[in-house]
Amino acid sequence: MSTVLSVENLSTFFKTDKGIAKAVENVSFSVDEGEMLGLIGESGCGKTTVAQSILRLIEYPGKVVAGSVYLNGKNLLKATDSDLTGLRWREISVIPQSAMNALNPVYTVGDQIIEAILLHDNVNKKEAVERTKKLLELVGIDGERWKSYPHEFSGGMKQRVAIAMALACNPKLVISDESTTGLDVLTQAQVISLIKNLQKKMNLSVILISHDLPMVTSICDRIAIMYAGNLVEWASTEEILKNAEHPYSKALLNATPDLSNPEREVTSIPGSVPNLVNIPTCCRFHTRCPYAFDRCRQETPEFKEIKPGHYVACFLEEEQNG
Amino acid sequence: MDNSVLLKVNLLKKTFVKKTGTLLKRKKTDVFAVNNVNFEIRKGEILGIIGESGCGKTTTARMVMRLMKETSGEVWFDGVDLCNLKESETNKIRKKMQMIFQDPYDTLNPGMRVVDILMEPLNAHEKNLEYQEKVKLVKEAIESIELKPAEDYMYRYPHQLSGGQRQRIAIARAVILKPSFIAADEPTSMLDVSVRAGILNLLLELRKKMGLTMMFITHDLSTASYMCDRIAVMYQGRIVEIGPTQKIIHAPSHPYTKALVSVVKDLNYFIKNRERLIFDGEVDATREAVGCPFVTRCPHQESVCHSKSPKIESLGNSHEVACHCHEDLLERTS
Ligand SMILES: Nc1ncnc2c1ncn2[C@@H]1O[C@H](COP(=O)(O)OP(=O)(O)OP(=O)(O)O)[C@@H](O)[C@H]1O
Ligand SMILES: Nc1ncnc2c1ncn2[C@@H]1O[C@H](COP(=O)(O)OP(=O)(O)OP(=O)(O)O)[C@@H](O)[C@H]1O
Ligand code: SF4
Ligand code: SF4
Ligand SMILES: [Mg+2]
Ligand SMILES: [Mg+2]
Repeated sequence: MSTVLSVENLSTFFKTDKGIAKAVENVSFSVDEGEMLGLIGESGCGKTTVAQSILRLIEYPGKVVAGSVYLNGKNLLKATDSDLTGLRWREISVIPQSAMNALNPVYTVGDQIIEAILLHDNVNKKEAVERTKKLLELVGIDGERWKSYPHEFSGGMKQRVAIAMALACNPKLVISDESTTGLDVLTQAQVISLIKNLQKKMNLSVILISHDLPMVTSICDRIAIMYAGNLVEWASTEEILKNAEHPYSKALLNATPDLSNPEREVTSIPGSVPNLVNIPTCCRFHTRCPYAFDRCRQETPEFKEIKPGHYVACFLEEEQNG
Repeated sequence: MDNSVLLKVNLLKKTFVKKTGTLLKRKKTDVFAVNNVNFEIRKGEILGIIGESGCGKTTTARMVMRLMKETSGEVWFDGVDLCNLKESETNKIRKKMQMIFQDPYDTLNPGMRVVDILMEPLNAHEKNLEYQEKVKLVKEAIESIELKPAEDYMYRYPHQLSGGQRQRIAIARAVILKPSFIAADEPTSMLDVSVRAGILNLLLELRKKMGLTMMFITHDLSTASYMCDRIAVMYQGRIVEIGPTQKIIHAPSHPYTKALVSVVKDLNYFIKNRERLIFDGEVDATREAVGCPFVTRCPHQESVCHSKSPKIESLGNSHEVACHCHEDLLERTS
């Protein structure tokens, strides 16, 4: 299977009045054609920043300070603005975390989708309108409502409009940033089976950013787990479920609430995410890791392949085996 | 009114006009977003509202909070008829009633820093406090939502925060005045399990200490089961089932509730009925259905369901359901 997207040693920092916030540091992963990759991790760990870096949407005071992002062999970080205009929507598109970031409140949702289609595809207005209606119906919204304004839709409907919009120009890679978060389980099942179908039909690749572990494990081929700006583990879903290695991944798997046992108090992973501003060299999980030892406080563990296709950043194995 | 009841909603209704048709032949149809909804929330109680996207949850909350005018019906808060209040009186009640909005990107003023966002309600309603005291309250509020140390976040603008961090600021803004009632619209949808647990426990703590009452809209059943005393299930603008949380989650009676619960609890039931339950196309809320609104998707329907709209009936123990076949259902599933 061929690689569609490959992210290598990506680092993106934000300047703040307190110093440099290392929101994403040294992140590497790739996505194959037709693959669905789940990118998960705690609130504030850098998921959206990764997505925005890939799409070159980082703005001052933020900056991609190192790394490369190859989309079908082309380095996006070196692409010119006109290259990017050609690539966005048709090659790669994003469903942003808040639907309101995708939608303009003063235009009808139909006009916005139609405009995107006309700008990027060689079709006439009538065809664009037809395609827009079909896209809306795909996400469970009456096609006739293309003349409605964003505020006339419910929260979940706006999210679905944003999904329809991202699919408007048949992209090869879609990055979905928490786009099913606000949806009830049935609608979520509907949207996800839609994305799954498209994925099979059009060989679409998807990066699914989410904090919802059960959802991600039920539909993704591979999973990448982030913690405080670093990727800590990356492997096939099955491997993560059976043989998660990183102490954070394990804690995450254990912290998922259990409906059949409502009496159980929901326990958080003790401690909180470290502040990313001026963070020293260390394993960023050491403040919460039950296995932390001296080395973890002084060095950053390398993100390396421990078995074929299974990558982990933790000193533990080395320590135990030698 | 029973004085242990804080909020009472009576036959609440909201219709929107939707435009369809072509440019020349414009048609206007009514969308029955909220259709004769009744419920009560007792002091210190948390009522969950669940239901499919577009079923009317946010619209109900906005009417309760007086952010939207009802088409008809009544909202009573602590014995006061909110629908007939003067604006000055509504403003006074605002301090006691707060809303956490569904989309934190939409509701935090992008030009204000976190500290100003949290200071605003204090400036409006706690005029007697010294500046330093207010700053202290703001810092406490920020740390209580697990953004530590507060100094690192309070001088940021909303766009300098992640989605989940913004959502938490919206929660801090709602609780900083220690209101007696909060309508929370998907307040933790962007939070991962470990942070969410802390926030939910914070809200439960407020209830324990100050008797906070809540209307809690969520699509996440595990959150609902952790937080809520009772749950109301909405479908196409109506409440189709309401009752104690344990009943709704472990012994649901309405076929729609069964469908919702099955996705997480009983995958076999879900897979068996998947074709029907996962609906293609929007739920049609434009006509006042003659029969049961769920009939187009219901795996248990009988002929009566097509001709008669079911009334909500008590099953005892404050569990109510609107379905013609609930007794048969109970037998079939027990
Ligand atoms: N402009 C900025 N200035 C300073 N810090 C920033 C800025 N934008 C983001 N950050 C910080 O960078 C970190 C990563 O943010 P990001 O939005 O990528 O998180 P996320 O993983 O998407 O979280 P969530 O799940 O809550 O959306 C956060 O700690 C955030 O506070
Ligand atoms: N201002 C408006 N004008 C026209 N229709 C509206 C308006 N606001 C809401 N609606 C419609 O009313 C219905 C109910 O919307 P509401 O926002 O209450 O849904 P919801 O239950 O909160 O859904 P979600 O879970 O997706 O947020 C939807 O069909 C929506 O399109
Ligand atoms: S490197 Fe050390 S602190 Fe980090 S996860 Fe491994 S054992 Fe824990
Ligand atoms: S009344 Fe009939 S159609 Fe409606 S939910 Fe009950 S069984 Fe199903
Ligand atoms: Mg994010
Ligand atoms: Mg809503």
